[in-house]
Amino acid sequence: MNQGGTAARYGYNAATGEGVWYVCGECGAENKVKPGDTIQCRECGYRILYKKRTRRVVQYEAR
Amino acid sequence: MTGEGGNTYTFVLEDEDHTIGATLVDVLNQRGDVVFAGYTIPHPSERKVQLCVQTNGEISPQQALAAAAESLSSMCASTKVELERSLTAFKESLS
Amino acid sequence: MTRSSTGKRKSSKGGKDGASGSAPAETRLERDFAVSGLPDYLEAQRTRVFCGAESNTSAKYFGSAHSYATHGVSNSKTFKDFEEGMSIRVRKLNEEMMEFDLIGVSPSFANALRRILISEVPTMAIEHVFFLNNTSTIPDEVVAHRLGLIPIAADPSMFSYRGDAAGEAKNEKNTIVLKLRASCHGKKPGGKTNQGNGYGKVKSSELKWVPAGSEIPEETGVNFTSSQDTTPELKSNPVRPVHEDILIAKLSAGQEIELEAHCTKGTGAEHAKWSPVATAWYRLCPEVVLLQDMAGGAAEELLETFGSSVFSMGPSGLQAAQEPPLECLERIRALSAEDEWKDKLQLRKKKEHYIFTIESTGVVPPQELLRTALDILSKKAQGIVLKL
Repeated sequence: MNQGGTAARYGYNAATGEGVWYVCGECGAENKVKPGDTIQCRECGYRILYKKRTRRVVQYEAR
Repeated sequence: MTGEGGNTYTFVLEDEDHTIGATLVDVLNQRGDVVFAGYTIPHPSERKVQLCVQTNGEISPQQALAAAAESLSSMCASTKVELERSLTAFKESLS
Repeated sequence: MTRSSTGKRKSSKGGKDGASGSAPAETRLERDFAVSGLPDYLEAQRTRVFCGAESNTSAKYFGSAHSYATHGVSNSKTFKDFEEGMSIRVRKLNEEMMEFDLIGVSPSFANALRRILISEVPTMAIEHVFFLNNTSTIPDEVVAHRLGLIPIAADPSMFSYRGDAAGEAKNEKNTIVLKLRASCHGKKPGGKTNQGNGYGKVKSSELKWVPAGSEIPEETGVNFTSSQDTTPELKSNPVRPVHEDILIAKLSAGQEIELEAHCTKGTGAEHAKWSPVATAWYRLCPEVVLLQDMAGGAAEELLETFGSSVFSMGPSGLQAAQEPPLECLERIRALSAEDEWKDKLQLRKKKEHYIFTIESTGVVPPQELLRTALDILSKKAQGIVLKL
């Protein structure tokens, strides 16, 4: 999964057609989903998948 | 700092609040040569204190305020000395 | 308070004992700073608040030099009077709390100290949080806010304010870098979670000091020119959270938090997280006064009801304790309102006697906070002199 830049790593890359990593809402397993794939966890069959958090550093004021 | 001249003067203390306003008024009022001392904060969202001082003419309001501020500063120093004494006394009382 | 004093303010500690059998109530007062020439009832009003059933009377503070001009008595007070009359007695002291008597100062002076302690004595607190990862259920901004409130044990005098308006860069003199890396390995991701795997608690002890500065300088823009642990004071006293067991977040299996937190110097006036005290407050010293000599049935009833901590039998009849316990005060107040007792008993408070409590957050010891507060007040006054 660690190929290319930040965008390529987490977003869908049309050129490679590699797909995007998602996290299962039930069991937490990571699933790579490609165009046309069924939206379903390979481990538990749960049908709600979440996008992974950005790896970019985000800054907050502690107030 | 603005004023009316003579024995009455209104000082404007920028970037100050009740902390210094009330203490200075108290110290000023303790003086026999101060006829009136009072303060107001015209608007709560502005950090500004108006301090009005009227003297009996023996000294000017400026002199009275300077003396009061000096006195307040000395009061802090003397309180600090007394604090150290009391802390030592407290530690001795424990041993 | 047994200092000798000169001038018109006389310290007459013996005033109370000097009152014999049928003396009027006011002469029974402990005369700390008697203004000579003032009638007893006025002297009582000057120095005491009288506590009635529903309300207090004589709560006014007579601070003006001219308060008693109509009586031909000067009430002026010089610095010398202050120096002689002021005293402090420490009651309790530990790293987090100090309780002391502050005697002989005006209400505004005591209040100024209280205000400065709460909002003007500086400390270091987390101000910026950089999240590398946070897969917990607590949103970033909530974690950041919680981190800000954690007291950080770092001597504020070792650091300078960061000129925010001037856009001053963060460096080793104005910033402390802490990092937190926590993850929960209840069961590997991919397994079933939330079912008997438990959860991990992220506590303040996970915050680790990074003396060398930011580990992600490109993102945070913080570059230290030297490591902070080369400073002897910081090396011998490493930066850490005051308490190790403050809960920051809970993680379930597979969740993690990774962040860097930057502390800056500030005051409680800007945000309460910089306040060095949990709170600082004072109350007036209470006093139970017997308005008449009491013996026999009434005296015994009081002794029986309140016990020996409040009343005792002396050679000249019933005596009230110098320091009545806090718990009995409202009962005394209620009793003094009853017809049977109102001429016999009164609860009063001493106007220039404050029982001051400083509850530190643990960052700076309370006595040091008081020293700093006095310095700040002194500096404010000096500032006025300089500007005149």
